[in-house]
Amino acid sequence: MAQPEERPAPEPKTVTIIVNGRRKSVPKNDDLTFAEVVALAFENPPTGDGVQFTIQYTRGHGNKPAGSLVEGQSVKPKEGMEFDVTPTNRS
Amino acid sequence: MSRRPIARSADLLRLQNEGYDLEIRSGYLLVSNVPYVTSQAAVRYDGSLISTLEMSDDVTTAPSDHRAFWTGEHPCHSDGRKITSIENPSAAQSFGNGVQADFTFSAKAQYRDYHHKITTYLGRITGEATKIDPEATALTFPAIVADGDGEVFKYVDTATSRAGIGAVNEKVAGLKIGIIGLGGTGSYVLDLVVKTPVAEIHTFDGDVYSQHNAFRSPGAPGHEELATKPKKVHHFKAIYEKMRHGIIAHDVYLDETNLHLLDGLDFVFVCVDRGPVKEKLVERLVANGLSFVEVGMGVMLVEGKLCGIVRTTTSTAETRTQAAPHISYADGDGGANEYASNIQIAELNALNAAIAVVQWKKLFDFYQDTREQYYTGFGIAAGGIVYEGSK
Repeated sequence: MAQPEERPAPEPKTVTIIVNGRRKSVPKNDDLTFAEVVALAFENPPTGDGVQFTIQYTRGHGNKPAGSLVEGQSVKPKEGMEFDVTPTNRS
Repeated sequence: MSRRPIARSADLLRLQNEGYDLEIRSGYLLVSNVPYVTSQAAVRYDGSLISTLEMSDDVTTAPSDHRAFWTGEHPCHSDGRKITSIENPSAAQSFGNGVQADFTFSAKAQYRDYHHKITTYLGRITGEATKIDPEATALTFPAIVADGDGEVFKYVDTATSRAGIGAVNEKVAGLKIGIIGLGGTGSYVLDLVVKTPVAEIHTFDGDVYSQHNAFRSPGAPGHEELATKPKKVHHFKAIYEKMRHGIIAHDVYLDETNLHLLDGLDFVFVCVDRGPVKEKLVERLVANGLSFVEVGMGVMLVEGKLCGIVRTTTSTAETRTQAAPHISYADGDGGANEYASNIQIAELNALNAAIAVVQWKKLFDFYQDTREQYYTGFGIAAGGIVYEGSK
């Protein structure tokens, strides 16, 4: 009986990242924008005056494994990368 | 009485730092509250050892006089026999200003310095007392009252002298500091800044110190105090003015009408929640060319546990542009949206304040600063500090 031809497993096209403690699957090769990270953190992100988020990440790619994102910036995701996303106005 | 020679003389400073109750009076060196044994073989704890003091420009030189003097009964061995090896027949005498020599001692030696001399005599005297009371010690760590005008502290900062970092500490001396907002984080900032030799600390807050504030600020007020509904600025001034001068309480919320109160300050900690107000005062600080640190945290409940970021933004003339987008102008209520939360925990407030104070001290060359951080964020879940710096 002929064996089915062995194929290499297809390379996964997504990576799992952690946003505010929750696992999220995102495309591997697309940069994540500030707005996309906020959308991953909150189902219905609030908008308008008086809304501002702080984003920081760890376990990112080797050239810059940890850092922050401000509006307009993006970062390439990596398997296991962790994001914190929250307003940071309380004192 | 001046403490200047103690600060300037290594041997006297060493005695003070070790905990001896040291004083210079009428030009004599006095060590008080020294335990010793009486002729009844009982321990008394109130002897005073006295020495002449030789100095040059307020700095001690090697003692040429091997004698010492004593206020109290003549010290004895643990069995009540007089310690004759240090006995000297001189009569009692007064050196003025309440310095009374009931006895003179003579233990001949080439004393290297006053630390050597004092500890040699006390070893013989208090050593006998410890045979009866092992807890007896002349190391009483007395509170040291600051002398002279222009001192910011009401007693001497012996933590700095013990650590030997007086010159480093001097770098923030004389500054005028503003702390805007005495909430959880601002109150911990104040707790740390009061212990530095800055000249003035201006606090700004129009709020009342309420019950919930007690759970995220330094100290522990009684309910009687909470019942008086003190203003925050007055509550904290009352605590910290026990220790230092120069706390100026401004019982106001800063707004367009009173931003001039910030003029003339050297550095400001921005610890307020309200975005629109913060915009105005940051504009003023930038216009004044001031460096400032702005703090804020965001903590959320996710799956029954808290997570979030404790963030500090540092803005200087060099890092203004990079720092600007990290300053939070989110409003107090977060737009009244479903994600709005006002979770603050004392240790996170204290951490935020500690990072803010470290950042301030970096700008004044107290701490080394290799990265010129403008963003410093502690991520609670991952436990690391993420930073952005211009170096």
